[in-house]
Amino acid sequence: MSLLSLKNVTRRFGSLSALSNISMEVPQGELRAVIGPNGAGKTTLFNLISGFFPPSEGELLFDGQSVKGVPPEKLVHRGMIRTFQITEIFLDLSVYENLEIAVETAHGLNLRPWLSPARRRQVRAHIDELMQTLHLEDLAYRMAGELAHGDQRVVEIAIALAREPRLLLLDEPTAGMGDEETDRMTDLIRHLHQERGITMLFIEHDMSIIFNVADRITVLDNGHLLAEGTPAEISANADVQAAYLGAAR
Amino acid sequence: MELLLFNIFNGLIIGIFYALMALGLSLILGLNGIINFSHGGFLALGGYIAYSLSPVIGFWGALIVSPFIVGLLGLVVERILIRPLYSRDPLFSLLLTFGLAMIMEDLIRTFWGANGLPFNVPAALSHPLSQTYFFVTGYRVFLVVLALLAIGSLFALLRYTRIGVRIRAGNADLETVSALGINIYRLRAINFGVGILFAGLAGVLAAGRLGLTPTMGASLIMPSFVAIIVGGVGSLLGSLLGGIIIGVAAGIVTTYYPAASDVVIYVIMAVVLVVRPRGLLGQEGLLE
Amino acid sequence: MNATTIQDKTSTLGGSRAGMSSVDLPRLAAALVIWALLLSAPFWLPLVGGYTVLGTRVLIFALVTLGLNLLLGFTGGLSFGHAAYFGLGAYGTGLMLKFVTASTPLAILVGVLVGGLAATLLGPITVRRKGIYFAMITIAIGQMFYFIAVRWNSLTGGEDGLTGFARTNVHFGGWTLDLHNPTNFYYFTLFFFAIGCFVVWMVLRSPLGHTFVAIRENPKRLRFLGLPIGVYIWIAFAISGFVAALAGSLYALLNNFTSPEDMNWILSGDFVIICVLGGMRTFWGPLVGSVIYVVVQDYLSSITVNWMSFIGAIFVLSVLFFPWGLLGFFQGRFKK
Repeated sequence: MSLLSLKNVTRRFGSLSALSNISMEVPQGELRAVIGPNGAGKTTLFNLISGFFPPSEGELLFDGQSVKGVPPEKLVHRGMIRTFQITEIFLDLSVYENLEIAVETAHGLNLRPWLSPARRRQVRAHIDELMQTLHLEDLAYRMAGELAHGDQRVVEIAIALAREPRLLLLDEPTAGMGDEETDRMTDLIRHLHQERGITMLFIEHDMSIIFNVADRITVLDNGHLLAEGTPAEISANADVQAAYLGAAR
Repeated sequence: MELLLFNIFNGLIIGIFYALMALGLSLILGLNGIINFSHGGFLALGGYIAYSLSPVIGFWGALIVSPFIVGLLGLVVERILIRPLYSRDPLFSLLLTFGLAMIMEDLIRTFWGANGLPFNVPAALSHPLSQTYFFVTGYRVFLVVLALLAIGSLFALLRYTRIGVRIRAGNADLETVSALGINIYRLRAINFGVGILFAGLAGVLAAGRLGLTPTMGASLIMPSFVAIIVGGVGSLLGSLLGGIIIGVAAGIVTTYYPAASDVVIYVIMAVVLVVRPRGLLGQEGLLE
Repeated sequence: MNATTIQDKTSTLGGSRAGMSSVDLPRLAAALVIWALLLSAPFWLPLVGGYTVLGTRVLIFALVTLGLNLLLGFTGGLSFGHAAYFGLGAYGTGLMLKFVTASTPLAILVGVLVGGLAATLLGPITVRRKGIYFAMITIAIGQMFYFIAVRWNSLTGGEDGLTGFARTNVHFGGWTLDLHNPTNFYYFTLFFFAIGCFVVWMVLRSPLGHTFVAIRENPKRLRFLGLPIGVYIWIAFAISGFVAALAGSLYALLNNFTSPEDMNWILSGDFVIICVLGGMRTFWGPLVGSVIYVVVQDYLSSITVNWMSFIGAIFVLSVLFFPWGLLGFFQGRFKK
């Protein structure tokens, strides 16, 4: 069964259709990329899936249940979590503290004015585990705001991972990164997918990453679904080439 | 019945002061993004300057000149003290204008004395217009008319002049306005000046009605906040409406239960906040 | 030098020094010095030209601003109406002593409950709004209590204030604590100040406190971790309301008097500037700010009638030049 499915989803803003009649299925465990020229509706699609606004028409299902009109903060509890195009982390706190908040929130401890030593150790172990997975140990006591852009994005993913999401939405995870950082992020995404089996949906511009890691690719153009298929199928698709060549001038 | 009418009329006049003050505060809150605690100080200053000017240039001259002097002073304050704070946490502009209010009140006390002063309006304006309704004096009617004129011209300015259109646009979306290449610093300065001008005008009018005390502004500023909250933050029309509503409501309550006349406006506010958190005409999510 | 940077900054999370099993020595030393100074204050205050009641007043202001700072400095909630809960605590205690009981502890308890519950009940109305809108609503709601105190003459004594009550001695079994003695009352107040410190310190190093700081730092991020932020701001508001009420209650006992001025918005502004003066993002900032504020005000009002201008100038200058307060300023210095 699909973890996420969109059935004939349309989203209008006033008279403008940002997304028209999109249908897509993301099965459990898949790594799916969403691509398309600027203004194709990728971010609108993301915002819609993560609950910023409901579809004007059509149905949105997560884990077989309708999540149409469910706000983002509720979707988190069902296991869907996202990152943002502009990194959203706690810049004035250390990396450790960023993860501490994420882990305590994930464990539902926010209302506690104190913790038992056992709990404290449990939280601590989870944070350590996250830092290990994401290779953040050396940065633990640095302010998140002082980190390189690429590291900040990793912290953001770590925060999202603390929740142990079933579906992770990554909005342009490598935007603004240098080659080395991009490679690291690519490895990370592949690792999370393969080792942890997290279903992921990500928007990306860098074609090399997409064709490297994605199981399947969804191509949007002008708010329409242009094509969907494996990397091989997409690279052979004449419509996609036309759209990209057209957009790339 | 006559007492009720009297109190409603009185409430209307007080409400107009609230509205004049709330409009200026609301303008500044919207575009400059600050709660101007010193607004009451500027109001009082408007009254006192008119008091000192009127022996020289007469009541009418003072009525016109004093608000402009106060407005100019507002421009100076904006340029020197407020402008550095725009990019900072709103807490700081709040505290700065709070301190400014204390300084202004203290300076007024030092220059003009701590005791109340009478501010005489022209004899032609102080006669009752009606035998039955003795309280409808010429000055009170004049006050209402003049305030409405000022408010009307403010709305016309915002609607029909280029600067007014920009101020309104900046209220809605400052980033876009600055992206259009409009100098938002100048826009904010002008906006602040206009807001203070209204405080000055309200000060002169209030001086003729309520007399002069160093704390006259401070006692008007809280109800003006309430007027803004009731009317809805971000809506100038709401501030106007809010001011008049709470003024009249206080007037009505004065008739039946005078002790509660100060409290009633806060009760109205609390009810509005519970029932309609964004206020009567407010927009969702503004200034948050 | 990098190590100091980290330690200073991690203090924003209330000293959760995870990853370090050893105790943070400079911080501990500072706390020990502060407590030693507070415990010995009645002995050294006269030597530096002070007097015990001045010390008690500092403690009371430090207590209310400690609570306020949990909301203002750590959660980022701009409350400009905390004098209301301070004043409610004062009136609650004063009225109890005047009309109901001769027991000081009972009067304190009632004062704390009145002010704290008022904050708890009104919290939900205010936390629906953020930023300066929140500030405006907190001021206006606070002012409502001010006018009630002014107008309800028969109960509160109106503008003249509430008189006719006095703190009474406290009895523990066969032992009596003579509270009429100013030094004893100082220690009595210090005891409650210590409780307040302990509560705030506990909260700050717990997940609850971490959540408060996270709200200040990035509410959007937190919302997308699935947290209802309003609830947590409300909790911070309520805790700070209870602490403010406790301080107000002690203030009424100190003066054997309370007046509407104890709940006016001017006093709310004073509380906020105390937090800013000392350093909003530091634990001891409120105490440092209170020392400066209370001493300066005491001194100024004895030498000039224009003390209000000076206090106003302190507001303006601290905003322009020391926005992160004295402690924040020194911590910034260390980092360089």
